[in-house]
Amino acid sequence: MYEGAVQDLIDELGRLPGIGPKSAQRLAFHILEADKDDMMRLAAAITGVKERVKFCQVCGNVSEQDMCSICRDPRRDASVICVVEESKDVLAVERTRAFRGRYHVLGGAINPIAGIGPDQLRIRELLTRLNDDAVTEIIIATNPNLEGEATSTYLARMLKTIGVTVTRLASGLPVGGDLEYADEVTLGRAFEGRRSAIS
Amino acid sequence: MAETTFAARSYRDDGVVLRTHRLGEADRIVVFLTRRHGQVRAVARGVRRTSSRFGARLEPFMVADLQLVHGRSLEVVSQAVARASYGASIVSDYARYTVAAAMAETAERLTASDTDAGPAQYQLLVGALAALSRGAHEPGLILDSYLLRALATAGWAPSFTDCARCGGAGPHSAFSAALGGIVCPGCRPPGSPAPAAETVALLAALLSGDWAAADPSEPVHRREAAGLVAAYAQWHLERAVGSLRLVEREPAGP
Repeated sequence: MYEGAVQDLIDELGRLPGIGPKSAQRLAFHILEADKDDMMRLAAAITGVKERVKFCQVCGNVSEQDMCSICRDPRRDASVICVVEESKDVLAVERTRAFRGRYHVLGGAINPIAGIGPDQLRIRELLTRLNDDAVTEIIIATNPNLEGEATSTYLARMLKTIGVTVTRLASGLPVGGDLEYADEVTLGRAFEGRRSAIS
Repeated sequence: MAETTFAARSYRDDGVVLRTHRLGEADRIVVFLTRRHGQVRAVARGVRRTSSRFGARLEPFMVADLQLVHGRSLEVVSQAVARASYGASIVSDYARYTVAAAMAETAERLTASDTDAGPAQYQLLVGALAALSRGAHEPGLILDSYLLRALATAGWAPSFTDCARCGGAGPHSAFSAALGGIVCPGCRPPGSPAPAAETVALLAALLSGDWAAADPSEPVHRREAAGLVAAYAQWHLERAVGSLRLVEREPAGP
């Protein structure tokens, strides 16, 4: 045990995800030995993010205002909503530059063992957004794992009766890889999702 | 010296994935129920990357032939070859998914400390997942049958004919989770529920795997049986199985 502030810092760092006691101690001593101005900037950044950043009232993405920049942007296509699990997934889709619609962040995926059911996600808010007739398509872009697929199944069932087009991101082989190294599940999904090569 | 070689530290076993936890940037801790080694917790490195060669084989409800290496605190998955893939057909139906999650959580609880129960519990879970993925029976019935049989395998076999306390010949009408099933009027604790005779018959059929009797049962009796099975399971597991709360059951009817 160290004295006072150092131990407090180790304890707080140790509560972060992926940081064990040894890593917490290493980080704490790095902070202690680093340039004071650099560390004050880090402290200010942490304070700033907790004070200024909130969740967009419309889509649930992180934002410094009541509505995020994507929901405020009139050039975005309001007829298509891409449903993702987390805010970081918005960034991943934005990097593709292939999507010009808007987003809806669920805040996770249905995972009964972890105690996360549909009521813990922002599904009700999504249904509220669909009251607006402008929306014609929902793209479900949850993670291609079991929880993401289950969430997609649940959403598709909920949205079936509403009369909007519901699509799911394609799933298959990664670009740049060799076929022989693909696992049988991914390859099977690629076969199921094959499309005509003749345009 | 030999203990430090890869061959000495590694072993193979069949395992079904019960659940996964995120670890670090792209790794997962995977909880397996294995055929010969009971419950195993292992690190699967890099499986959250889309380029992972065996990430898809380590999703919940997958059955895989595993090569595991003894680590300092957790095992490490060095190879996984799919033996059976139940995930896709289970997840295509939301009710099946919630049932499979409840079965996996129960299996995790039952095998957390009991390595001897591994082979029997493993066979039971794989059989239940296979039946669920095939849509062999109504998902709720598969869950209740699995719970009763898994508890029986773990040493908490309920009685649905003779009195669970004194052994008096049945049929009896009162149910007590604490006493182990159906109890006679003399042993019946105050406030014990008295399920319908059809519900008791359904419970007995689910415990013995008599699907010819269980499949035609009425939704109202299935719902009553489900409540009793959940109470029985949670009493003996000594804490609530969170996934049971989220299981989607068929409506009990008018």
